[in-house]
Amino acid sequence: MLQVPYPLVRRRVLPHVPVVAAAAIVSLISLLPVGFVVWIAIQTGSETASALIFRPRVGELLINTFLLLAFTIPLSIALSVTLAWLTERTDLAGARLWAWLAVAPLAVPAFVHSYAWVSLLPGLHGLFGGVLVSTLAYFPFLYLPVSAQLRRLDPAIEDAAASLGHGPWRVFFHAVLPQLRLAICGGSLLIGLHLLAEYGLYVMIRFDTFTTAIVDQFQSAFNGPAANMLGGVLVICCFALLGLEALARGNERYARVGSGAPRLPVQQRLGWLALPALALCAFTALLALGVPFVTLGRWLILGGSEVWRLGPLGAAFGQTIVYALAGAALTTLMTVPMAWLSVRAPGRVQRIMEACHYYVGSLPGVVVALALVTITVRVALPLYQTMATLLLAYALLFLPRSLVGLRASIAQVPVELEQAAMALGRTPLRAVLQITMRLAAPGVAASMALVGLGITNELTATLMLAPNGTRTLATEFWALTSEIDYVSAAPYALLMVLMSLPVTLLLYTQSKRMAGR
Amino acid sequence: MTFLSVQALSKRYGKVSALDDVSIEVPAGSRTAIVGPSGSGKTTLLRLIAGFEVPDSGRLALDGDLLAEGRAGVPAHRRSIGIVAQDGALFPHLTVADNIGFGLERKAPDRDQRILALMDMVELARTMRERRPHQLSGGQQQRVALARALARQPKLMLLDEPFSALDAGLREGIRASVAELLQAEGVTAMLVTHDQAEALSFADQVAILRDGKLLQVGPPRELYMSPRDPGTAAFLGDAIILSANVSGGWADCALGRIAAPTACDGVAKVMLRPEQVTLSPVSSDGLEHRLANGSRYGRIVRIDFGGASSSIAVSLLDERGDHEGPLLIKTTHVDLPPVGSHVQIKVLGQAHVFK
Ligand SMILES: Nc1ncnc2c1ncn2[C@@H]1O[C@H](COP(=O)(O)OP(=O)(O)OP(=O)(O)O)[C@@H](O)[C@H]1O
Ligand SMILES: [Mg+2]
Repeated sequence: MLQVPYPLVRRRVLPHVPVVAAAAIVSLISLLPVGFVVWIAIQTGSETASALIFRPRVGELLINTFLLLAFTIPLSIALSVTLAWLTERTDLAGARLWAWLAVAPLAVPAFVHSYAWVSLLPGLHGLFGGVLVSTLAYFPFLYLPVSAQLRRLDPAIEDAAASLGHGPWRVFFHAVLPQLRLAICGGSLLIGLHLLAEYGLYVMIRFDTFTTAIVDQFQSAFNGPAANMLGGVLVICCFALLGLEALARGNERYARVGSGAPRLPVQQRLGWLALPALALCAFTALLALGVPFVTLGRWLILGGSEVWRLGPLGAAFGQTIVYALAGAALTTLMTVPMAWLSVRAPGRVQRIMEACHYYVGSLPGVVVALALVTITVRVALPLYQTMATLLLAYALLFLPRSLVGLRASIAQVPVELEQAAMALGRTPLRAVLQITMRLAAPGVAASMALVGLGITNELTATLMLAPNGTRTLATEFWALTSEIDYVSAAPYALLMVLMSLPVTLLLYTQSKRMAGR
Repeated sequence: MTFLSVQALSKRYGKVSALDDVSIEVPAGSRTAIVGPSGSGKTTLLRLIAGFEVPDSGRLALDGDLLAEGRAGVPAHRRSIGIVAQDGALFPHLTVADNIGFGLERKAPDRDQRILALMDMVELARTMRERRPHQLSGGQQQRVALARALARQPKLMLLDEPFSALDAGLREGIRASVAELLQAEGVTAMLVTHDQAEALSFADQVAILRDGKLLQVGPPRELYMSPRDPGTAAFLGDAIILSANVSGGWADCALGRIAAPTACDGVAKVMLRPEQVTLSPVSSDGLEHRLANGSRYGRIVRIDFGGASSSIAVSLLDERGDHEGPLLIKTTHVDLPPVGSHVQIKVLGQAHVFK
């Protein structure tokens, strides 16, 4: 006689329903900012909207944005590819040190870079200043992937090209550069999105972009349709960048074809180029690190012990830590379902949801903040200017960072272990928590650190969303520099840099490990 | 009495039919081995039974309880089926003791005693208790995995190529001790393996899978001596396949007249296992005379030395001299006759006739 010990559970076409539901909710939340832009456009009506969009001011901002991108990105590409090639593929003296120095500028928040430059050259402003400081602040975003890719590159391809009679320059441009395309596209996109989103840097350097204009509008005429319309144009710019990158990336494959482990790349001898190469590395380090550190040092010495007002400084530090930890925890919690699904049960629906998670992170903080301000004011007033809303904004901004890290660390835990736990009587949820998440913990911690770093240095959304009386390192620094009290601002900048350094080191070693060394 | 009943189980992955209409009955306390070439669906079958995958159709029942019917099923953690995977799948962050105790009640008062008893059972030194999996050899890891699965006293134990990571010497010892242990504990077991010798020595019942279909199932001896077709015969070991004229329970073939118990007469393929054939050296004088007498002789054309057993290629002689292609014969001779010498060929036992 057959009997059924437990009710047979009918499994649906899409399994893991609770996880899918959780990931779907996060995906829906991540659609809020774009939904907001569309909704505002409809509400404003086409006449008002076009009046607000098609005006000289917007044209000006568009030209500024275009020029900023058109100068900064190629400049960063040239600088990063040269530095990466020098540090990875040549016998440059002290290559390891220069490599680390090329990543270290990331530890300095962009608005601290501009603070340093403006202190050094008070006359620096406009497009030239914007391009200079942006390049110095953001080129490591390109240097990291390009150098990792160069390290991984199969030297056999270069040998093959050389054996076909190509000189060293032709080999580089025809065999090496095309293989860096993915890295260059990815890094450029990242820089482009940062250029669109950055606020503090351009305010100090007195260069108007969409983001600075929106914050201006927002602060003068709180939540007016003008700010919202500018936000809409900014979102379109972001999507244009994403599309451009997808086009430039193409879908060719650059992986190694053939078997066997690749040989270690040979190092080119620099010869008489050694001196100019060293000079370039030193000059870059001087501009990207020397200037911020020397200025900071000067202000600190000038201020003496007086600027170390431990009360406010400690309070700001504590609040920053609390926001960073809470934000990182919330972000991680929100990405776990998607990360687990995309590793353990990939599929078409899952891919769409994953795309939602990624796109929202490419939106500027100012757009996310505008959306959350409007939504809380109109729909959920009690949530307006609360820590909860700010944390949600952080989570949305840093979803991709968290997802990338989580996914990689979950993928390293064999599914067999999860199943072994189930065969030993654990429910699926407990198996995931006790085995998979436990084993993924180091990777999860690393990605939480990255999110925490992002939150520490976040300025725009914090300014717009934080509850009254909030004082983080970034907002305090900003308030002091706005009063041109550069001396008192220095300790805040120093603390932010010190907090960022370990995470930058983590990024550096991660990119090394990615390349298998 | 049927303990595990697999009825018409099918599973597809996209276009690939991983398992196609497979039915097996497993008696209580028995050991069943699943063999088949790579990709034949062995692992899929175990994963369906363990509840890690959902069948497209078919039915699974264990000890009178329905486990799965089509896409509906009891979830894995409620099936009380133990599984030992190919690489052990030990939890790397837990010690040996914690791995073994993973399935035990956390607050059980006799937890530590039971862990130690399980370690004794699988012959792991108690001093290894605090080690981590990466500090163990492959064989020790396998034994921890086995102890971990045994801890919950499962009704059924699934073993997916558990010995494949071990070297040949260790493998036989562990296999025998596992078989003994399972028998002593009265656990019904299902073992997946690539290795036909392992399957034949371990199991009471062997099932052969190919391309997701069940080719044949039965006791090892029966499968080995009377396979359904030449392909199955070759999978379970070397086979000598000859054409023969069968009549009245005898087969006439290149090796002479051999007993072949079958009802049907006529031209057929027959199979002998190489160990049924013995070779004894003879001098080449007067061979023609003896050939006419009906005895069978051959000339050694090649010897592939293989340690304990070597394979010898023998070309048959008839009245006209050399016969067609050489015959490959496995032998455990201590002093192999030299290449070129002559041997007398004798056949032990019966030939198997393919229908
Ligand atoms: N998750 C999966 N997705 C798609 N196809 C799969 C999946 N698992 C197994 N298959 C396919 O199903 C078939 C049977 O696989 P299975 O793992 O059961 O083979 P196997 O007999 O265990 O092979 P091996 O001896 O190599 O372990 C193979 O063709 C395999 O490619
Ligand atoms: Mg398998």
